[in-house]
Amino acid sequence: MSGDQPARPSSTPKPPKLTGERQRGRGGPAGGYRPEKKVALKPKRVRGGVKLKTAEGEAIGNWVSQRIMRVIEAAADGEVLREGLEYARLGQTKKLDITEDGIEASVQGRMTRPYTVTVKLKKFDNAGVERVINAMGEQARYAAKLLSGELPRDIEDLFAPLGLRLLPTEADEFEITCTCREENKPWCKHAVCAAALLAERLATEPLVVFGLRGLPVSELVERLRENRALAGHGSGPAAIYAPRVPGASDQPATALTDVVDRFWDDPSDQAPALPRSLPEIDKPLLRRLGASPFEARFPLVGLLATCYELIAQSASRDADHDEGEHDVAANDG
Amino acid sequence: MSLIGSAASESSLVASGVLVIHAVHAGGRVWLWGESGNAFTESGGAVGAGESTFPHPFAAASDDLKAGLSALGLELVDPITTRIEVALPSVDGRVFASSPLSHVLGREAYFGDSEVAAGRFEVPAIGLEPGRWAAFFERLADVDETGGVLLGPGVRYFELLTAVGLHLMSQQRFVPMLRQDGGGALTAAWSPWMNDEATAEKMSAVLRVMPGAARSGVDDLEHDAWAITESYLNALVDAECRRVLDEEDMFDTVEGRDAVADPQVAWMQGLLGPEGVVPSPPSQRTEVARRVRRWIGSLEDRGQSSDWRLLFRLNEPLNENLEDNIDEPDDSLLWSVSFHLQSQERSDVVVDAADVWLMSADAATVEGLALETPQELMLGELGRSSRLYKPFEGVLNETEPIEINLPTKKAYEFLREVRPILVESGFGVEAPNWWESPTGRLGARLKIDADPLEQLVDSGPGSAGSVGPQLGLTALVGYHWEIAIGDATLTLNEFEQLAQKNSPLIRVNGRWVEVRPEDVQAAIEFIRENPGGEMKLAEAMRLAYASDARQTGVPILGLDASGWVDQLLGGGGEGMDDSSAELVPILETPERFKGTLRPYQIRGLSWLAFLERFGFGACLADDMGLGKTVQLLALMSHEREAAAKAGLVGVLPTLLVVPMSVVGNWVREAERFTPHINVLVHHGVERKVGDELIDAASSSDMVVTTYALANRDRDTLEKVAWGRIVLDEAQFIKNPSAKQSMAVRSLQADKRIALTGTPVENRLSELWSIMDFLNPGYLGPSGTFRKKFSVPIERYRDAHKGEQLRGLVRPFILRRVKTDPTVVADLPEKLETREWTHLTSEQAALYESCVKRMLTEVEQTDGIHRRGLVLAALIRLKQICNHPSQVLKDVDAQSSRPADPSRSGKCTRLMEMVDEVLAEGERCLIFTQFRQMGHLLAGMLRHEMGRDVLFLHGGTPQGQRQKMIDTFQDPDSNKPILILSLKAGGVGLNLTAATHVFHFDRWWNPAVENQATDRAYRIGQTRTVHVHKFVVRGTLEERVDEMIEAKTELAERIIGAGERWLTELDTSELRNILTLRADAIGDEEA
Repeated sequence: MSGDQPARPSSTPKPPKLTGERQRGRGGPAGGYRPEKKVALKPKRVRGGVKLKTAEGEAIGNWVSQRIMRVIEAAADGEVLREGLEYARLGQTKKLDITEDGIEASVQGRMTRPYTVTVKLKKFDNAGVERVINAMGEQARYAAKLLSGELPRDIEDLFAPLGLRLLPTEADEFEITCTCREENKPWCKHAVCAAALLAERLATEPLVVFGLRGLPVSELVERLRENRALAGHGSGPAAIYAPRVPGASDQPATALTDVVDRFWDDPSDQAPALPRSLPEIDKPLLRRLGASPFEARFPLVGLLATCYELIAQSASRDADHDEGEHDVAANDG
Repeated sequence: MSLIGSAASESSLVASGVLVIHAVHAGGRVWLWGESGNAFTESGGAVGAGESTFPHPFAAASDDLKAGLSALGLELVDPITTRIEVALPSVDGRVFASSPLSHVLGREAYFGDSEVAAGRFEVPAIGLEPGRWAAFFERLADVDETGGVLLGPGVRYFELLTAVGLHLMSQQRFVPMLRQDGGGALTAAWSPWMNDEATAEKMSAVLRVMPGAARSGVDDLEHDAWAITESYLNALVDAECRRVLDEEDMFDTVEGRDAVADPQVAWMQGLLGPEGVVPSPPSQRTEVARRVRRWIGSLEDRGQSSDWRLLFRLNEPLNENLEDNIDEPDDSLLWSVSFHLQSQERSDVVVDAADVWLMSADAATVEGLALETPQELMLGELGRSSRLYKPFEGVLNETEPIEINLPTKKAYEFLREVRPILVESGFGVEAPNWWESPTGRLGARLKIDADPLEQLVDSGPGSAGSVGPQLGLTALVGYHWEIAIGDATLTLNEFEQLAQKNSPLIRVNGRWVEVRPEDVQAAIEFIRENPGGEMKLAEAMRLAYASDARQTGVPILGLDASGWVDQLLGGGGEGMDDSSAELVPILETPERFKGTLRPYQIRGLSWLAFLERFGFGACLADDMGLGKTVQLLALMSHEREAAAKAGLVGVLPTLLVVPMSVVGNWVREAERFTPHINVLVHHGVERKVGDELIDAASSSDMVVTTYALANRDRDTLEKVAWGRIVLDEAQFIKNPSAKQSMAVRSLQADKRIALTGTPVENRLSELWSIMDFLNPGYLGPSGTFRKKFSVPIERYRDAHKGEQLRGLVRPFILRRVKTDPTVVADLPEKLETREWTHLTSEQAALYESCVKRMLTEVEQTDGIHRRGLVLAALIRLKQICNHPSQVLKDVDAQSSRPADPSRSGKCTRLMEMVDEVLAEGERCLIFTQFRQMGHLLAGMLRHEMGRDVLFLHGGTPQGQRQKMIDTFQDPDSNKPILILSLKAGGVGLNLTAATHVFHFDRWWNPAVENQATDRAYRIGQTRTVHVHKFVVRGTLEERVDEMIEAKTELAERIIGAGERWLTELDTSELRNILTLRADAIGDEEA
């Protein structure tokens, strides 16, 4: 479906129920709406509702948001679309829950009680999820981006060969319910309002879309880390967990020829301080790890504590130079 | 660096016999390989390109490699020897020599050539398994590289990583890990944990200095810097942890237990057992791996939001009538830990919990920052924190928690134990500002009672001179100890009461202070055992500045002194700068001193006089160019005037020991500033010996001799009664066991002064030698000093030991740098000095024969022909003054061997001065008229300084010219020396990175020279520029320089006409100007 032509011709031109307005503009995604045409009968005002931050006439969010918006714009009737976006800007949404399952919103219309809207995406089945994870394992670039919370622009290149799509391009990929009684189902203005808020949210938290597809972010991240660790180095054993070292493990690789100028620079002078002393507080990492991840009786943490002590003592002992120099004033000249 | 003491070690390093050892990591092993100077060849490997591998043309054979390692004391038992591939900078299959090798050979390293590829070369190599890494690399810090075997940057990098690994182990920054292979089988490993902020910062710094050389191993890590670094650290830490656990027989604790029933047993068997195998059955593996991954992965958890974090703030009890002194806070006194949300980006934006509960549940904006679902975030993060600190669990039951209350002991535990854990897990924790502040500590303070200076001065008839050796470091001073908490001093009685109370936080004088019970007990014992009395000043200073809490039991907070000791110690001044000279009585410029002393020089003079008066040896370590010579000459003037005023008859002579290269300079400066000082130069073939020397020395004011002669004529010199011994360029005695060092230390005199322009406090072996000369025994024997200070400071960068050492030596070292505000104000923007040097006997012979031949020839010619002859001879004489090789052409400027600077007096001095410039971290320009001399200098400087040297001359292509200038100006580049041929450097260049300008040979036209100098001294220059003009004594250089200085009529002609005027002199005038004077020659071995 063409994304740049946002609206298909409306099949049933609506009589101008509320405002008696003329036909809507058909230019850019939002630019064609006429701000001077106010809603005559305003919805009930809501205090502190969730508002769309994007002003009228501006594109919502980023490219992820706009892909979602294209589908909405194509699916919803022009007038409904305009009103739905107006609702979103006015803050008619009393409550917005974005969960890994989908979004649930409470949108205040002209009636006393707000309507409850749910917007979901069609989920991948289990086999699909496995295929996605495996594909990511093979393409470390995607994993690295996703782990830093970023959605690569060419993400669909990863999904397409699997016969899947991450971001929806067709209206029927949405599953929408609303408690209102309007006739434009499923894309009533409340649904448009909720979906626009979702689109805007995806600009800052794009990985939420994985949850909507049935692969919650937490699981995705864990599976990616697992994959990344296993993918490590060739066929040999690899650590099951590869922690990030900010400022080091995430540095872009340089080719050997890039460092020709400093190929032989002596690193010794600029080394950081590396004292061999016991830590300020004892066993900080073991404390943070807390109880054993296993239920059985064996005292894992206690035994590890002993290991930590022995190892640290041995490593710091080499640096204990003052052994045998008990009298500080012994070497008087 | 390598220059200092080169006279003593000339034979040690024959340039071509050098071996440079490199290290790479490949296939899980570290491989050592070497470049051999003997085998060095320009031609490189076979010509070709692409992926193919060539044998490295000058790689050391494995036997040579082994021999080199044993020469360093690094014998390896049963090493793995094989041939490996390394990727090295090369062009068309021709490999470059490494920087260390090209520096030794004095060759030009490649300069940013874009064509350079990383070609593959095969080299013989020795492999080290991970289990041997720590032992091998830990020994390198003690290795002496002066024997011709050098350790390359790759070796140094893995040495650094080894230090990182052992640091992480001692700090308990490692985790038990699981590894899984393609088939699912599990093994266990100990892995370094570097995810926390402090460690990650260190790793980032380490990675930044990783040289390409350490990435040149060829394996599946594909030269990736981090992959190599991480892989090395993983293997090192695993091997070292296992070694320790194996020594302790830890496997016994899990051996034979049922690994199938309990996966923890299986994991521990892998961690403690020899093979690392985790014997979990295949059915359990996935689950085991999953749980361990979650467990270890939780360490990386930094909270739900990357924009906001939960902040805990510990608040002091807010009771209205809180007393100023509370030594036993009861449990009704409540501290609170309050909850807040803090912006990660702007830490000053903090929202209190109470406000969070009032916010909209979905989103809010705080000072323009969006805050999504604030309440959920708060609760979620509180939940997470409760896993780390149980008391937070309670608040989760409250609907809108804002804080928890803690009694004093719990508050203390929160600060000491819980806070670091929370911080590491991504929470913010704010402690009260007194927490961990140095003024809030408990410790002992040493009080020294000494008489005021005035009292001492009035006490004796010789007050203006020396108070005498009854003072000094062996003087007995009265002392007692005080126990202090923060700035409050407590009596022993008060203290004992405190000990009964056993409270870790107490209130003293309205401030909360941390008091560890064990500290209180130790302090009481310490005071009982050290009631006070008298001790030697040296002992007191060692106690106050360099004692270890592990030995004394309590932290020693420092020293409070009164009277002259207070003045000596500079009243707690900041470092080895002017502040230690602030408190001493300021003297006047001596009457007979001819010249004006700048204010900081007056302070230096006063400080020297003060230290001498109290019997201390003093080290004046001002930056080069600040006038150490005049300060010493002023001191000698002052000493004589003061003695005369006091009615004393004579002052014992001063022995001044200097490097050969500056003898002339001293003589000239003494003639100029203190003509009344009677100077005897003791050097040269015709020097006095035996009784004649003793008599002449005893009747002079100052005897100038060289380090070499101080050693050779030691027996005679010992018989002279010296008043003072001064070492100039005192870094010459940095090797304590060298003969010259021992000789000067054995000479007796009450007063001792060392002059040096290098930052001695950073060169610890130098520091020890100089201090041991000045104040024998003060820093203890050199072996002890090394163990106690050098190793911790140099190897582990132990800041605490560094502080201690600074405290100990600070009173005896005065070092001003040009950028000190107090100095800068006194300095002009441009400081110009002459450097008088000498000819070696080789140069003198060449010079004389050249003059002789020329004089004979000009007798027989006239007109243009005569002029041509004179001009040619003149240029030849200048070249001889520069370096014999410039006329003998016995060193090919492009060849693999640099010229020997010791064949030229000028070159010797230049090397010394450039070394000081580099030690100060500064940059310099060196101008010469001769392109060929530029090449010679570049080779020598590369070899001596071990640095790349830039050389810009008329033939340098425009593109490269700009690149060189940019490199020189770039503060991050490692190329601080730029040689320019005067013509090339005359116009349009902006070289303000330089603060020292050397005119190696002279144009004799001040205008031309100034134009060159102005490259550095021009708009954009913010520092003082030092201009050093070299003049060889007794030669035409000096004669012409004198004429220009005297602004004679002749000089006008000289300046106007370049060198042509000389050609018009008649033969007797020529003879007069050109003939060598007697004082021109100065050979160390004469």
